[in-house]
Amino acid sequence: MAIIEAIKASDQKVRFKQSVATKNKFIDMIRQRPSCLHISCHGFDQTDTTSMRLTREEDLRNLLFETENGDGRLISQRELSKILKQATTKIKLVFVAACMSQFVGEIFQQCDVPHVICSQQGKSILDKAAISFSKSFYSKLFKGEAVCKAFEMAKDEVAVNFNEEEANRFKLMISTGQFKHAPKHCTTRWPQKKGQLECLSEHIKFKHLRAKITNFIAREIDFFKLVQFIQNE
Amino acid sequence: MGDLDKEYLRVQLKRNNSDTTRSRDELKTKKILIRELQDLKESLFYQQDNDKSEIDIGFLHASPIFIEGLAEGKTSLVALKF
Repeated sequence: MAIIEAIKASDQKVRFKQSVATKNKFIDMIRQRPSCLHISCHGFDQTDTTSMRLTREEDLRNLLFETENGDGRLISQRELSKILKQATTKIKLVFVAACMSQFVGEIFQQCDVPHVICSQQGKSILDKAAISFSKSFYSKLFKGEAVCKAFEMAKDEVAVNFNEEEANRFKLMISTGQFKHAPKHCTTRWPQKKGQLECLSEHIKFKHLRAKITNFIAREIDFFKLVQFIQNE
Repeated sequence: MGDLDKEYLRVQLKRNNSDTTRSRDELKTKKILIRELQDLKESLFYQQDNDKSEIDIGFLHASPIFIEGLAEGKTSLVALKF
């Protein structure tokens, strides 16, 4: 995983926790007051395909989380907003690695998160581009670059490995309430504390199961049932 | 204008120039100091509230089996943009 590799390579003391993205785990993680939150999932924006008369706009933008059983669970813009407004979070940096996730960025920005990385409104991002971006971004960040500079360098990396258009799909949102500077003057850095990665992650079931259907990233249902059967026996 | 007056004016002009240069330098130093303080404030930013947090980085990842209802044919992939 890009983020773990970057932390290990930088020799930074970081308390890291990984969880499956369910609604409850999301709430739990927010309560643990992380400095940085990374969300990796699918994102949808159906505002241009669904009749607005029938559905509220904030219900048409969703992230695809999981249920405790591994099924899909759509978390709407309204739901996310409600969760975050109720929480007293002190998150400093959020990275939403999901397509069409600007709406998520806006919610975090309203909650005064100073830096949010997401995808441009209505734009999809390639999985491989997101991985390339993450590797570059976290590696620069943990080596002491400012958040904004690490973001620009990661974009450059995507432009080289893919193309300019793909790179421009990544967006950095800066909360002006915190800092009143232009991105090029940003000096916010990850605190440099030498040490080791402390992994507080729970054991994740079925993490390495391959997708059965091409172009549809999902856990294979047969594998899921098989592992569930073995565990229950 | 006598030589003494000329000398007086020359000294005054030199002093004024010196004052201007000094005030420019002071301003520059002030600006640098403000910038450094701002940098310090921002570099300490991530450390604020750090003692209250249980984790530094939270990583959430979803890769579900199916979108709710898809298996029962209640919805279709076509309707959803990935």
